[in-house]
Amino acid sequence: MAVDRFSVLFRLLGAVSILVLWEIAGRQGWLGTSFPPLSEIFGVFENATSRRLFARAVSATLYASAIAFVIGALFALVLALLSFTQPWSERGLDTMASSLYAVPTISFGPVFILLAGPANTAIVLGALSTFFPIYVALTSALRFAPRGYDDLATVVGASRQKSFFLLKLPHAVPAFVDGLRMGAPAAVLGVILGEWFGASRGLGIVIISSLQNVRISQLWAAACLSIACTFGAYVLLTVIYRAAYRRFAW
Amino acid sequence: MSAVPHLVVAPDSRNSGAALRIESVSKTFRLGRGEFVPALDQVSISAAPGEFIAVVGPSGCGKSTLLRIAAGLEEPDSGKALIGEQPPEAVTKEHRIGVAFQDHALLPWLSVAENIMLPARLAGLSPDRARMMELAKLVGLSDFTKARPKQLSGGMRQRVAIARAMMLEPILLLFDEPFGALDLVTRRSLNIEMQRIWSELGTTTMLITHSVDEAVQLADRVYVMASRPGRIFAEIPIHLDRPRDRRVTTTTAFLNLVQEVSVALDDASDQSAG
Ligand SMILES: Nc1ncnc2c1ncn2[C@@H]1O[C@H](COP(=O)(O)OP(=O)(O)OP(=O)(O)O)[C@@H](O)[C@H]1O
Ligand SMILES: [Mg+2]
Repeated sequence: MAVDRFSVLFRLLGAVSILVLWEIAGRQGWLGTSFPPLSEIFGVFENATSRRLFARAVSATLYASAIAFVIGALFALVLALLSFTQPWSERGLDTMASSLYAVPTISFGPVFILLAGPANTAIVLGALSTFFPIYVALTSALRFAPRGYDDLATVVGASRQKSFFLLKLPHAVPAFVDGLRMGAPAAVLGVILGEWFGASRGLGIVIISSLQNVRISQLWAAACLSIACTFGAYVLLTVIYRAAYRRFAW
Repeated sequence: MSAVPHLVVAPDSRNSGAALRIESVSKTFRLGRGEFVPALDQVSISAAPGEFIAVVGPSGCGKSTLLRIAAGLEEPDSGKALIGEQPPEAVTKEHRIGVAFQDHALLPWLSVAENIMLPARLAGLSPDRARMMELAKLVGLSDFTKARPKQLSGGMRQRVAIARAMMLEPILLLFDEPFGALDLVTRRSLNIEMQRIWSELGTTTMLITHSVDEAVQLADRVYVMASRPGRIFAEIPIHLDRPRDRRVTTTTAFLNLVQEVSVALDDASDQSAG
């Protein structure tokens, strides 16, 4: 108990000192003019117009991220189940998944502008980034279920379907949700990246236009909001993950 | 499906046990490049219908491997296992083998009740709640049917695994150290309870145990194994009257048999290549 309280205290202290250091470094201009103090970054939100701008950008990005997340997760689910139940597809799907992962997401941008149009590129890149962690988590949980489960299934003469639905699938639930937890922030990042290729609104757009117009504080504000969004997605899914873990694992 | 021969058929079809015959089974495991473990060498054991046999032996002598062969989980290199007249695979397809594994293999997402009924659901049969309650009561877990395995102690988990093994009214029960994590008192009282059930059900049973006391108290015959390669070292019949309650364990006959098995076990360990 005491240890817990201390570690929380230390973490808080660490976070606060970083923020204070940031403020001082910004005010003193230690890292140049492109590194503003925190107060200036948050000052951006005092302006009603930019508040509206950011609200619109955040909701556009989150909306696109949610869609990307759902699409990516569905694809991962379907393909993971396919690769597990249809051994002939396993090799090909694994290779496809890891090649997609090995190539930097941003390099797909131009391809998808052509294929999906600039407006949808954000969602496609978001879905693509979500896909990999979920696919990997789910396939490995399905493949590496405890040997005892297979033995049990064999000994009671269970059919493949029964063993899959009663043993393998529930066993894989925590890993799947863990994959979702990794995939959620990836969706947000993918969407922001994709927005650079010509979405009409979103945090990625704000970042690009701030950069082009040299509005440093606004750029930082957009970056901070992006981080808040990915972190929020992660925290939300972590709560769900904990619940799934409590319910399905030892 | 053809009826299993040697079946002792009772009115309610419960009193059914099939003969178990394992005939000169050998099994070698490959460890790595050119390295092999001779786990079993020409091992033969048998149990008559309704008979209770126990297998004791030093750790690593191949007891679990033998049980896995009897359950159809492992293919022997040579020799064969028969349950009645059928190979184990055929009997598992009829859902008539009950196994309690060394590492219980309970499902953490199911309650105790659901874990006990799991074999029925896996087999595609409708789970019989009344039987589940009966089994939970037998292993002393009536009050815990709604609990999850992780809320139970190690010994309680083993008891769930024992109950689960009996769910499908098996004609052969295979127990791999199911009482390992139990304290002596619980173990003894469970042993006595089990005997009552076994005498009622008449299920042929193979029990692997490290406890000589337990083997002598429960079994009609005790096999002592030696290791490297795993082989049968001695076969000791236990001629004690049943039911064998607490009082039996203090009789000279019982103690002599315990001594005899212990000596055989020591000799087996000495003869096991180190
Ligand atoms: N799947 C396997 N692959 C390789 N070797 C194995 C395998 N299973 C068992 N063995 C080896 O076979 C031998 C017998 O193992 P087994 O588990 O049957 O022993 P045991 O008598 O049940 O031991 P314990 O009392 O410790 O449970 C051991 O030397 C073990 O290393
Ligand atoms: Mg063993």
